Amino acid sequence: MNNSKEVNFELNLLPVISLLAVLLSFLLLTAAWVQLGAHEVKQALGGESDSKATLISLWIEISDSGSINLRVKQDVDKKALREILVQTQGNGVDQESLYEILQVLQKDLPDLKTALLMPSAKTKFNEVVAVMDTVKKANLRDVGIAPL
Amino acid sequence: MRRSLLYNPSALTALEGQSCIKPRSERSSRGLYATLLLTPLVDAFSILVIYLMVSTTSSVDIDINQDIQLPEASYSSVIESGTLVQLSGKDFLIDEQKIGASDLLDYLTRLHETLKKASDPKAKKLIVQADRSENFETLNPLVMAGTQSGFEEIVFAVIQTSEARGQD
Repeated sequence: MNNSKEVNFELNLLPVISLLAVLLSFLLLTAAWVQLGAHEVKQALGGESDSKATLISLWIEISDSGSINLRVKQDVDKKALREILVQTQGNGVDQESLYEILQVLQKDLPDLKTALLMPSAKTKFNEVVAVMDTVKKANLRDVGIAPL
Repeated sequence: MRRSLLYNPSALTALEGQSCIKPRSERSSRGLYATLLLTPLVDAFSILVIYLMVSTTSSVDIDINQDIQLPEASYSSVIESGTLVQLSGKDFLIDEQKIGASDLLDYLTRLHETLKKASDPKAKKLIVQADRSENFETLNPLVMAGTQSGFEEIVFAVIQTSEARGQD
């Protein structure tokens, strides 16, 4: 009756390690190290724009030098309610000043949710995206871009 | 075991060979081999695998042209499937086909109709990949043709910087 068989046994971990190593290699090889994002542009051409969202809109003119001219317009009479010029500091768009002004504008005009970008011919694509980024940061959801 | 081919007395550890306190006798079958602890290794592997699986985003896999340096943005949204248009020089690359600015509207209109008939999700969005140093006048024909051809949205592809991940 002397039972010499041990009940305890060791789990064979080698297959587990092999499986994990394969999984790890696969995931490391297929991982996307550069995260792609997207800035959506809502076009303001023709009748495709949302009429409800464009009651008050912000028109952003970007000059070649990077300075920005902001105009708040009401669609009823198309007159500029307010006009602000953001001068560039150094090269490119001054994003910080633009963001501060957009925040002040949003406090005064809570219905302001639409922005229309009007870049000039020589405006760099990088600057257009930088302005779009700042506008999105300031919680203006509908951003359009006007062709030349 | 002793008779087996695998038994090799020279493979005994130095400690076993030199031991005076408890020399390895013929009767003793105990070895002083230390087994490698595999549990921490499995733990580390598991953590790495879980981290990599979680950090893999559900965004669509889109080819990035090596010659194009995309602009960076912090408040962008996750990229979804769409028709990819790459700007190379003054031409536009769509499905590895070079299209001139003058033919762009016709080509995109035909492409949109084909995709729409096939109920392809690519018919909704036009994904634009352009170098950060490009002037807007180079992009202008695409912006013009984008909506006129029937695509609902134009999307500028950007590289997400760290601030954006918190927003998603």
